[in-house]
Amino acid sequence: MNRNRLSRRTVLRGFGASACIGLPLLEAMIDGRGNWYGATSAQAATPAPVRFMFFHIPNGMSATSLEPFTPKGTGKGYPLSPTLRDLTDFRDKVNVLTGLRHTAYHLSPGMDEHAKCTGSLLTGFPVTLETASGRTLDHQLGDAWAAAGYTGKPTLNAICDASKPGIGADKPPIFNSWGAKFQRTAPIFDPFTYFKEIFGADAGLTTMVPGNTVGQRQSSRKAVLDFVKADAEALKAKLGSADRLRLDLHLTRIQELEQEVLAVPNDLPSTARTQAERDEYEALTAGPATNEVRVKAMVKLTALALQLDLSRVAILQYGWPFGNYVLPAEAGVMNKQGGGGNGDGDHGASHMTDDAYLPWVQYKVKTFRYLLELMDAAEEVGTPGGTLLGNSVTLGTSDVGLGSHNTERHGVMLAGTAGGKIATGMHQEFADKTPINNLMLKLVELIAVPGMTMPMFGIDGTSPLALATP
Amino acid sequence: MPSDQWFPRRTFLLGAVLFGTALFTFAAGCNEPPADSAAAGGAAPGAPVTGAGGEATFGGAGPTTPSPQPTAGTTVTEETCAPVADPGPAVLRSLTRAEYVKSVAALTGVDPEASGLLPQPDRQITTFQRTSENFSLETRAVRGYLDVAEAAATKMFETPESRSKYLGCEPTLADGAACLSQFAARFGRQAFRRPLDATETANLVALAQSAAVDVNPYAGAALIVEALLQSPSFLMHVEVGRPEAPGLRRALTGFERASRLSYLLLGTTPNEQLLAAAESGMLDDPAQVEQLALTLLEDEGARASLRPFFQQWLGISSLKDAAVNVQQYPLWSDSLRASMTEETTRLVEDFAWTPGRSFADLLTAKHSYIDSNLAKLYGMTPPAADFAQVSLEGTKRFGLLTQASWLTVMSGGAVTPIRRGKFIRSSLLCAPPIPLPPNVPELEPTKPGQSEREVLEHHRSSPACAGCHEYLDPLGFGLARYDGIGAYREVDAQGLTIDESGEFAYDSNPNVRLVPAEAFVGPGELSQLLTQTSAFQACVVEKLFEYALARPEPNRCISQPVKRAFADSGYAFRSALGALVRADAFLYRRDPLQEVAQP
Repeated sequence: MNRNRLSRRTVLRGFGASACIGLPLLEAMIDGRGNWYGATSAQAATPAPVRFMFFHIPNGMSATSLEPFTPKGTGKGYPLSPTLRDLTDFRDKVNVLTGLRHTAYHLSPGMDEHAKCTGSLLTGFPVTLETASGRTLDHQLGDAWAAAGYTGKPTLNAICDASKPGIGADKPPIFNSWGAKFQRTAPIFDPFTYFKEIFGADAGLTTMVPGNTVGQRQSSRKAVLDFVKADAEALKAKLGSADRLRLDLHLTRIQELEQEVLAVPNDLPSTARTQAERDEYEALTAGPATNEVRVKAMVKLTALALQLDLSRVAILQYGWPFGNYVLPAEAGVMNKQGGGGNGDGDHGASHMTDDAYLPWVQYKVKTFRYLLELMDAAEEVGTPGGTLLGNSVTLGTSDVGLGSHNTERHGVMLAGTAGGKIATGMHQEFADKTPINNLMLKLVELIAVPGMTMPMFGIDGTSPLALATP
Repeated sequence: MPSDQWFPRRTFLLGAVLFGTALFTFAAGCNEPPADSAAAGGAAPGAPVTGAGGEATFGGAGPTTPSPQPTAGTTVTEETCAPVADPGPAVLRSLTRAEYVKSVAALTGVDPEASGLLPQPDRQITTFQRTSENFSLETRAVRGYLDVAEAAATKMFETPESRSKYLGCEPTLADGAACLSQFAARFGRQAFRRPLDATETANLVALAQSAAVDVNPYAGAALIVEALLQSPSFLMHVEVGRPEAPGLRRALTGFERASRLSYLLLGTTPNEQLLAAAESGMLDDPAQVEQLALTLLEDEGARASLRPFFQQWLGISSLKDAAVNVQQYPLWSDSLRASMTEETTRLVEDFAWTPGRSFADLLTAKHSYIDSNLAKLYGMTPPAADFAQVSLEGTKRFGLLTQASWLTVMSGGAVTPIRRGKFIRSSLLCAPPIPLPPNVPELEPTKPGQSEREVLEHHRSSPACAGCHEYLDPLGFGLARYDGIGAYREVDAQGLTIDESGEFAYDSNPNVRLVPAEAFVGPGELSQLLTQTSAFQACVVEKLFEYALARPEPNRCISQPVKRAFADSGYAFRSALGALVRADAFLYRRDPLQEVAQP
């Protein structure tokens, strides 16, 4: 898989430069990717994988009714609704799905609305106070890809907003990615860490012990981690079973780390990443989602990771569910308007009227559009989808259906044809209260990871949603 | 693991209530609290029953006998607690980020924060950082531990001075193995917060000897540091204890007690004094544990380390994130924000640490510490020096409840009284309301000529909402004359005179009314009432327990001896801490091998 892997340095420079002065970064990268499929006969025989991209728009697609979101008219060429205003020429690449109900949420008693909605959306199961009920779709897909021999990052999980989760005391964690019980995956919020996550960051570390070659460093790291594992094993014998489970998770992490450490190619340049390169990123790492440059950086990195096949599954959240993040000035919202008792940011606004919340959602839809633009610009020559976007299912929706915590009617945007398998540009209105889990089941069918079977998704996803075909 | 290990007591209660009344839980709007029916004699299985002392107890089945209703204003928190044999579990948790950073700095002299190698800060999702997501060992974090360990190990042996400080011998000389062995034992004892056993030391020496030392003769010692700093025995609070005769609980070892004390009072790895105390066996004696804690508390550093307790408990740690509309509140500035935090911190620490003060008087304090920013906000004369003590006599300020810090955090448009009422119940009385049911309708907007209070009263006229809100809103009404940043006002945005009368109906259980509501007017009277019931004082101890043990208490009675000692001392905060560290819950743990895994 390394053939399409541009050097980290090249990407870092290209990315840094484009983030600062707005160069069309991705065009420079397309060659690396565009040649991947179809460049040689062996590769041409490999179908492009269908990537799963979930862009999470927290706090509802509208405040109290789905009216502003729902297009007045169904089928091909639907008229853009106020919420979807900025999709403009991307309308034909986006399906709007209405009539769906997020059922599992209703069965998660007595806890914070956003926590249970977020936790149940990608598991399809009710959430308990302790944790999400099971593994989320991103992890299931990522693991299935790994089982099928894919060696990139199984999943990516990031968030544009750097402020802390908008949850108060005594509330369970709001996370939409769960690898297993106890194992929540917290999203990465700063571009520098995200970059390291995607591209690895060993180059800068090899010089830390002077005089050691990379090879020596690798073997001593392995020896160190062996000691660490022995310590964990010795501890396990003394602990109760619940604590053993926790320690096992730590051991798994160490093993992953070991894989990462040993995977460092020996021909890496031994020079550390320069301070100048770091500085470029530090400019991006500060500040919350009001910093438009940061938001775009997170979107770009996500698209880039999928484009370079460094991951096939990604979650990117605009902000924290229940979060009172504010928006960049260009969104034209009154960031500090009082949202009742719900705070003075997005979450507060989501509890106001449809009209008041509309510009907030519009801006997030616009950010979604930016993601679509990047994915659409990433050509994948000779593949059924033609572009990264085409070879994906790209979901844009919210934890709660509405800001008022009503999830009877969930508004969903779905872009990408899954490699030509479905039509786009449609507004499909499903029978009222069709389980949203049927959509998730359908996505699994479309993504079609070799060897992955899923007869049912969550509590009520029993029949794949009938999406229109081309 | 018994299912109570992670859950606050009220979660049980909630689960039982929801189970018992599942049919009601999906109704729209604010649920009628189901346990009202229990009070009327129809207890749901597992619902709280009222004990003879008037305090709700949590014991599953049993007849529900209506208890004599105490009169308002009397003490209602006297628990009917039998001694608790179970000291509670000790959940394996990792060091918090702050604990990790301070520990690495203490051990190696390298500040991981400055190195820029740690991925991102911990997120606080419970009241206290110490209990938040305490198992955040993701690949990224683990990678950060590796990076920091390597950087620190390099730094420690970089110069002759640093080598003599940390190593003190030459691993390259003939007795190199002895040098490495000494270092492994010494540094290992500090890092693992206990002496290493012979196998561990031997393994570390073997690891060191595997290093390529042709270029860097100290690479072996560096590997010892790297290994120790990445091991679970360093990264986690390991509390295994040793078995006791009955087999149900284990006494924490002296070293484990030293670590608990150190992380609680100093926020970092135990120093040599504490390790030596553990070694000498003195921490096997609860009285000496208390004595050592009180000695540590004499140190200014210990008080600074406990500051996060007060700030997180009172919610003012989130003041830094508060978004305030400057158009609406022109006095607002970051400097005012800092002043607010400082005022509350100083007042709380004054009542906590000044000898002779009763911590219970925090709510009714007649003095405070303000600067010119706050003087302007409060309409008071600025003191000669910033944060000098000022008298509140003749002002509109009455102790903690009228401080701008928490009033600002707990503000938000029309529902400010609800939020403030909820804060008082959750944080000051430890009696939080049940979580909001689904699909709660929004408050109706204020109509012209209608006061904010009338909007809330209207919503409480719905029986479904009243179940919870009659305990919340009337508390908040008492503070209605303090605006979104805590400035005093007598008329609301509509120009109507603000009614600051309220009602205080204390109950330790959100659903069972134990005391007839008592009317009060304004924060002065409210503070008096809160203090008189001694519910506040008991809650201080419960919060302290949650902070110290980094877990919600599985059983309220566990903290009962500490509550009593706190009361007996006249509410000296030091005494509460002293009683806490000698309590069984602090010195023992449930036997881990008795715990059964969840499916």
